Amino acid sequence: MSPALVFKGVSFSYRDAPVLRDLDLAVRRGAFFVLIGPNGAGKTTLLKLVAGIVRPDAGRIEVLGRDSANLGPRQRAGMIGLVAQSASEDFPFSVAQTVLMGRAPRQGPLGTASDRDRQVAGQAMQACRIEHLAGRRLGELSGGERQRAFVARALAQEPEVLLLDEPTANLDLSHQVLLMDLMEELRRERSVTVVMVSHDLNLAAMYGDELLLLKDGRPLAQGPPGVVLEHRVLEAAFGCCLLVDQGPLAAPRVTPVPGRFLRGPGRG
Amino acid sequence: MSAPVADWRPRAVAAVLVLGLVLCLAVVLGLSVGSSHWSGRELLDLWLGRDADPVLLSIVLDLRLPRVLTAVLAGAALSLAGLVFQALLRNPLAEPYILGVSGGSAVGAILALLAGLARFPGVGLSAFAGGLGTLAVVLVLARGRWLFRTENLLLAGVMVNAFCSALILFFVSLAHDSRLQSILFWLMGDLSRPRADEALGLFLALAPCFGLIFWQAHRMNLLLLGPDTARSLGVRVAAVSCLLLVVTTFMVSATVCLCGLLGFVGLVVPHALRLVLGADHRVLVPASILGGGAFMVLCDALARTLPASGEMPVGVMTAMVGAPVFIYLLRRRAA
Repeated sequence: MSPALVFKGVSFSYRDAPVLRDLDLAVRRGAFFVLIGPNGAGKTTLLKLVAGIVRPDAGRIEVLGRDSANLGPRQRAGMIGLVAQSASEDFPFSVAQTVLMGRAPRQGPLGTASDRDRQVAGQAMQACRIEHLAGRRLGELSGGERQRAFVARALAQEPEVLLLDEPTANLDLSHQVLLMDLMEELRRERSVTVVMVSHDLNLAAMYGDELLLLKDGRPLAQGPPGVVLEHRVLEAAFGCCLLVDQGPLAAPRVTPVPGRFLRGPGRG
Repeated sequence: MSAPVADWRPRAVAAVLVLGLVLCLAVVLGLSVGSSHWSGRELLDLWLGRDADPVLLSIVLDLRLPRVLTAVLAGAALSLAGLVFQALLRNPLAEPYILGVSGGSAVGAILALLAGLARFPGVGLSAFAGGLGTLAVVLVLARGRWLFRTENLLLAGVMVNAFCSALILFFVSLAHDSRLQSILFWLMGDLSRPRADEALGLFLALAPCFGLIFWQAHRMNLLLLGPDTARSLGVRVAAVSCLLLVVTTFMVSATVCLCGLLGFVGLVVPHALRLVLGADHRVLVPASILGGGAFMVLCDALARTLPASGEMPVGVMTAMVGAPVFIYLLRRRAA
């Protein structure tokens, strides 16, 4: 079976600033793939390339064995879900309405929901533990509840590849674990390929089965957490002093050392 | 388990029925009142089809009916335009008059009038070009890092509007002719001039736009999720946005050609409806058409009856209602 994602020599720049340079990458189906790296490394851009929001300047992207350049928007939407970073705060719809919007790629232009649409949306809300919020407007919710609503919307899309841009950024500890467990369950039970951008190296180490460390649009390291979360590689990437040991759950544990920048924080 | 989501269709039907009734009542009222006074008895005879006074019948059918129909269409088009601009620019204060689209259309229309072109198609096309031109200028001026910031958009709109007003007065002062008075009155928003055939022409121009915008209503919902997420849900963001902006500008310029500058309608009506009906554009699009029509007919009825003698331009009424609403919304946003 073809991999979930393949990048072949992909380059991308915003105006004159190169973001990704000649990137080769393969993500197998059903992977829990976590993109890590300093700000401005090109992680979000990589997600946007997969989601078809921007097109590569050079190179070729394959999604589930098909050339990404030839996918129509609805076709792509049937395969790939996206939880973007900057979700609007004053979104005026209710949780249930928002989650149902995930069904849009499988509906007519007016988005009239079928029984199956309602059922899938209901399951997505249950999985994200927001059924009790169904009638509430998103603007009234806490940041964490809102984030779970947007994740439920992406789940209702029933994607084979799910892209998430820093989904745990606004969540408290228990909701971080809830969300990561949910992703792990999707991967295990429905073989969804999860591709996540995260700044939380320890969560990445605990849940990711494959990590990609990007810096300045180039891969510094790729592989299982034990390989990528290596002291020397991380210090080179982030430019600050770090300790790496084994956490109590056997995953690598990364601890930044206060007040010890090697050469100032990286860009941004 | 099934999600507790109300289907949009019953809500849309209910809104259409209620607002349709409101619109009918407004039309009856609009046909009944005016500068010539008739007793309730005579009006009742007219509405019940009993042998009515032929003078009254002629006033209602020949004078008031085209005017009321024009008011319905203008109110519907401008409300819907406000709704679309607010959704696409994700800015609650966007409105064709505030964005300068109306002013740009007026400049185009006046240029064509002074050049002696016929109202159709010359003036119409020129107004459309003027509206599109100003919209493009405002959007380019307001362009922020990734979206249009509220303050930039409003400032750009105000400045472009001021420039358009200056241009209009400049052209009018060059003209030196008897049309001056009528042009100035038209600029204030005037529903008294259009004839029945012109109202029909406006209807033919607007009806397809209404249908097209309703067809895009759910995509407008999805666009509120942000351009990236909308794209990930299969919406062709650029194509849909362009289509909606062009169609909306067309509606505005067609309305401006016939009725002049009617400000703030696109602000008042969609906001009032959103408070009652929620944010779903599949409900709001038909509701704005009917509610906007009713609002304009009522404003026009007031404009015809409030002054002790004669009447005032309906644009005065819409601005007197709308400007306070704008200030309220601006303050609430800043708070």
